[in-house]
Amino acid sequence: MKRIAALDGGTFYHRRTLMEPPFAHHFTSVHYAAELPADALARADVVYVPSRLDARLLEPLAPVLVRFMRKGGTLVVMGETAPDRWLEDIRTTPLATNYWWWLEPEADLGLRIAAPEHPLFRYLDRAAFTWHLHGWFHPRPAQRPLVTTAEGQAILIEDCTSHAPGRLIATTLDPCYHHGSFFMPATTRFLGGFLGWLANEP
Amino acid sequence: MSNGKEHTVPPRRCLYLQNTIGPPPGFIDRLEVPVDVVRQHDLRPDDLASYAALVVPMHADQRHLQRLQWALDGYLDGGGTMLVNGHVAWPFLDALRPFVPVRVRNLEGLTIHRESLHPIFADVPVDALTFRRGVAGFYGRGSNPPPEGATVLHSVGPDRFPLDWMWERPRGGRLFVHAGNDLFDFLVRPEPIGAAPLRRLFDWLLETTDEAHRSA
Repeated sequence: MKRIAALDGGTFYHRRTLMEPPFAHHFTSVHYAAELPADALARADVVYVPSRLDARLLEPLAPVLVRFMRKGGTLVVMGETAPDRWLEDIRTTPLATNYWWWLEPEADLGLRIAAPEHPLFRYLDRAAFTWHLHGWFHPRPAQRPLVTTAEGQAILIEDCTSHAPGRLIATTLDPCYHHGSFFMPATTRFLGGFLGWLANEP
Repeated sequence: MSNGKEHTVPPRRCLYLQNTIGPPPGFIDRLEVPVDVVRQHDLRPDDLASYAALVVPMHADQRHLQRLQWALDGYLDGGGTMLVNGHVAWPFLDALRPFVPVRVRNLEGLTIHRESLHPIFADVPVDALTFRRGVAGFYGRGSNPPPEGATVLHSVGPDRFPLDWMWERPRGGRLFVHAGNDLFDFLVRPEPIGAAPLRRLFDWLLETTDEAHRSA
């Protein structure tokens, strides 16, 4: 099992996602982002940045997180954390979120699995990604889109080379916020599959 | 007025704790409500005494607030008013207890009930709190259990969990606790009512309970 260290922004939904069932057991350690000890991430394989963690808390941690990847770690950045402000080479375009698309008969948010052979998709199907969108990435060549919109806009990317031997996984989806708010069951399904994949990767 | 100790009239502004990247909510400028915005982590406890009310949005860093509990309870003791939105996970006031979700999140479980009518909600029908575009659950999905003596305005679900409550603290100060998504959008109705309920919320926040908004 991978050792996953999570950063905590002190919000109620971070506490529920990171420190309470059903997902607390996935996290080997949880660290309050405003007071991260220098050696806190030394034993982790994965650092998980939950959605909507205030970017003002992340900006000063950027050198630590990049160093973590350079030493071989996997950094996972969830949505609404404004990574373009604190990670180089990340560029996103925000979307005016349509929270209501699913009220139309036979509506489809239109997400596509862009890399079906990727092991993540043994844990998650297309429906598990589908609640609403907040934006998309402008991926650089090293940033491989794993999930896109119907128009091909990347909403989940993986970059195994820019910070080698480490890896960056980033999404514009915000499941931790909704799961932690007891709202939108798809986000709970997503986290079950996504965290299961992260923990069980070879 | 550097430390608030020279107040001879009650302060007439609110302080809003901003804890997300991006601009503060649009209504602050649009309504021209007397609100100053401070990034939560830039809050200086000494500044609290200069404000009639402190607004805590749902995205607040509650661990940070918990470290400031001495200042926040002291602010209330001195006659301040606080509006707290969201689920309590890290209790940061004497009066706050951890959030309890409704047991079943179906329509019955998410139906909002009006327990007492406060003037803020005078022209906000309770159905407008239960439903948004026919979908229930946005307003609140559980309770931050109130202290004895609090007035419950709205409850949720068949067990009538207290969702909105107000409390006049025996030691001074007032609390309005809303255990759900930020209250502001729900207080804007179609015209001709428009933002009148939201304005009444801020009028209420600015009503100092007594002239003794005493600084610590």
